[in-house]
Amino acid sequence: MKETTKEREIEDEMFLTDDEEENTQANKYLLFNIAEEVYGIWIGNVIEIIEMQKITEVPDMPEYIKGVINLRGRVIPVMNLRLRFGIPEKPYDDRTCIIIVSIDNSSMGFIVDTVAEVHGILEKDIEPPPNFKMDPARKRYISGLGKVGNEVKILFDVKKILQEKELELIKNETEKQ
Amino acid sequence: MKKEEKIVLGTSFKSILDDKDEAAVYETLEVGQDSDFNRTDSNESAAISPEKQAGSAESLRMVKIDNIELLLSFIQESQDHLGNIETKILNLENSNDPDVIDDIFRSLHTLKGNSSFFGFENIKKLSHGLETVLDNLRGEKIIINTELVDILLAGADLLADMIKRLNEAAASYEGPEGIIEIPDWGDGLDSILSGIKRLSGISGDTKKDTDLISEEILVNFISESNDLLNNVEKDFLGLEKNPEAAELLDDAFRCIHTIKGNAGFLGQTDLEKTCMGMESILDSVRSRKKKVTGKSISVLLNTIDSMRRVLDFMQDEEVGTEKTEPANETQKEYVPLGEILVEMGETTTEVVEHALDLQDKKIGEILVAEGAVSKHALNKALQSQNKTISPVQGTMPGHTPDRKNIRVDMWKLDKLFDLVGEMITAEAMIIHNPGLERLKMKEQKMENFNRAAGYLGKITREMQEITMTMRMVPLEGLFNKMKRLVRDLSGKSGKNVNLVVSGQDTEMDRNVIEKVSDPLIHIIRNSIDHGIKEAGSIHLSARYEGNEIWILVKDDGAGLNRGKILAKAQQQGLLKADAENLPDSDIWQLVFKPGFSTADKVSEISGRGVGMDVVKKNIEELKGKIEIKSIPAEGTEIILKIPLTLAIMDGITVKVDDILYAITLNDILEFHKASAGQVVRTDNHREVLKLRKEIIPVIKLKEFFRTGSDKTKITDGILIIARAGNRKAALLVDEIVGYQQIVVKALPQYISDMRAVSGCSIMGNGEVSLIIDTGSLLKYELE
Repeated sequence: MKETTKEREIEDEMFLTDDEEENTQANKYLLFNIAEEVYGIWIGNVIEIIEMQKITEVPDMPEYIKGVINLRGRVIPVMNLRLRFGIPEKPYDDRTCIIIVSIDNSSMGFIVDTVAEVHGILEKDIEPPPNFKMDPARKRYISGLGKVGNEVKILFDVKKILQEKELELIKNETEKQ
Repeated sequence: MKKEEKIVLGTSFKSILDDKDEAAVYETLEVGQDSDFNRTDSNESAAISPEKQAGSAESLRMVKIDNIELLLSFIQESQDHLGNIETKILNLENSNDPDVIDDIFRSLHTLKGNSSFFGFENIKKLSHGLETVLDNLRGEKIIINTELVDILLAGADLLADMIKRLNEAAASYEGPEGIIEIPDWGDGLDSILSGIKRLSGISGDTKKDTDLISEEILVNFISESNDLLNNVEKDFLGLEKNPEAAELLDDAFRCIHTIKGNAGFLGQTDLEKTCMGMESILDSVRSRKKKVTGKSISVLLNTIDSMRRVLDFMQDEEVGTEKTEPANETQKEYVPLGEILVEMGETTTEVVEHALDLQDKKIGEILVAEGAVSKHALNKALQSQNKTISPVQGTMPGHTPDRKNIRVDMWKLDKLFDLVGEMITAEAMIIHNPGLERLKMKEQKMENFNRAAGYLGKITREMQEITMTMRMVPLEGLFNKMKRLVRDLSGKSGKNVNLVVSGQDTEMDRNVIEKVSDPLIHIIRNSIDHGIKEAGSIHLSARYEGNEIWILVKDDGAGLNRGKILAKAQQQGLLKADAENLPDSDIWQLVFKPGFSTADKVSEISGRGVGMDVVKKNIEELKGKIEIKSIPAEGTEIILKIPLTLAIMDGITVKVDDILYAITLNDILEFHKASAGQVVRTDNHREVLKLRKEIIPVIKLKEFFRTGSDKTKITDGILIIARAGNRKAALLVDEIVGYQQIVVKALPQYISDMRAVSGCSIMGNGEVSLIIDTGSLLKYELE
């Protein structure tokens, strides 16, 4: 999977194609807003975007896990990215969305302020994560900074954010014991 | 056979065209293999003979065509088929891929059927001839060589030529009632047909070539044989107890005979010989020339094991990429065992008088050979043995042979399972649809709807029950395996151990049975090695307990040695020095630590401290629990508590702080609205409920799940008196939503480790409820 993505990326750079049909996923990022910033996740991880819906609360979970939703018969946990990134929660409104992502057969919903657009960002326009001080929770998941025109989008790695959760859970468990 | 007649004689064209069921035709062809060709041959030569041809010249040369479209599409289709055939035949020369043979066969078969329908006798004849060649090839009567490929190619060419001419003739077709003149085929036909005839003359050369056995056949053979071997094993064990049971003997005989036949067909000569050996022994038993003894049963059982290993190897190869080469290796590897047995079998039949003496002698040899094997790779052998038995075990252990079974992929069953679950959810969504409530409020007549809904509900319920039973198999197969184990181990350890089994009818998900098998083996081994001194008994039983299945292994041995375990644990640093006062249950848990063993020496059976670790791991994987009870000098009881994987259960949905929880009906004794006088506060700030002279501790779900901080009065809510195992508690909830069939879904990965919640479910209105695992909830909260 990784290799083919790489290959496609290389190909893209060589030909700089706009051929949407053939490269529907590579180099495409779903951009969304949380507070003042624009974030992006690789579109390959995104299953769908749904509007805010009733979330069933689940006890005994970290604060940023808001609960679970029923997505056409599938029960999917939902994470509030604001809380995850250490930004204060804000009331849900019409523009609040849940982005359903999937990695290694497990799904998760991210609550975000608004979903902006899908944008192509070429490998060469992505810079490594910055070195300056940043909230550690956020910094850990950042895979790079993507340049779109004059703006900078924060690209983060879905996999990392999901795995992180697991690590923490394990940590919590051991602390409990 | 009837069908075959038709094809050969070509009398009923229509029926052939209708006969889309190629498999059925294949079957008849296979059945009729031996006679097939000769008959066809004579028929064909008769047709070719001048008199016959002259007699039927009219019908052969002129064919009435009612529908030119039909003919054109036949020509088109035939050209497509023939276009592919040539390359495939060429492929055949290089590889013996049975799929390719089947593929060509299918094309020819279609061609044959269609041409027969139109009455193109020669095309039919030729394609039938070529089919016969392929069939012989498939049946391993002939092998692929240049001549064969030449003839196939020539045949295909001629067929193509025929179709081409037919096409030309069709071009000159006029009018709806027109008649097509069949072109002259030239004289290629005769030479090819005679070539085909010559080829089948080679059929005397019956070189077995495993290449030609399709993977599917082999896989089926392996799993069927494993099933049969399980049966045979059961029969043998029964025979040992009751040597006079003729029906067991007969059953074993039948099973072995089937394996022998199949093995012979597939060219597994060693298996075939081994079966023959076993049959000879059984035969002499049946004819009362020999008595059933423990020794002879041992030999037979060992033979079964070695056969299982051969099958196991075959299976592994099937999984691997290389199909043929390793098959020979396997056979080589296991030749010695098989041969010894065959020898034995032969001697017993030949020298009947000395049968007993001779056999005893040979038994010794075999046992030595077996022993050598097991010492070398004891663990490995055991593993492979387990592997062989378990995947197939669950298929239908203990089923009666006359029941009709088909093998279905597990994933299909699982998928069906999921779908039925979703269907029930969807049904609830419809029946409890808020839209309907509105209709009801408008005082609409709902009778019709209610009746339809009730009908739907009945069907879904029935479907769900059937689906569930599809995956459930009785524990009998597993328990039979244990009988065998106890027998072997008691022989090895020199202890006289009697295994008593009960509750073998209890049914369990077959996936779960596979996982339970290893733990049981380890527990029984431990019992025999450590628990039982010289003689004793083990009681293996199973029963439903709430929403769990309990598998109990109880021995009357020495019991666990508390002092020894304690000392060892302290020595290994697992416990602090002041652990003397720990309750027994905590001490017993130590035996599950990896590498923990109090055995002074490692025996062949146990003592490395691996077994109980395996037990724990497997049972935990099933979300099960293990309980140990042990009394010195009286014995040890180990209880495996496996949650039922019932994906659908009857449950009560309750509400606490806007969160829905579901509790299985099995755990609920009653609902109770407490009055102030019934609630008593204990000194450790807990509350208990006095209910009909009984004191029941109260668990506030709000507090347990930390969802509400407010001090709800017990009298405000509703108490659910629940029981799990020997614990009882009153669960305080805000409100009872109702009774519903609950489709259990696994919790999503990231929240799967919630305390006392075993899964979740989707309610009729789309909300998610959390399923409370009463057992672990009570365990968390009570002593």
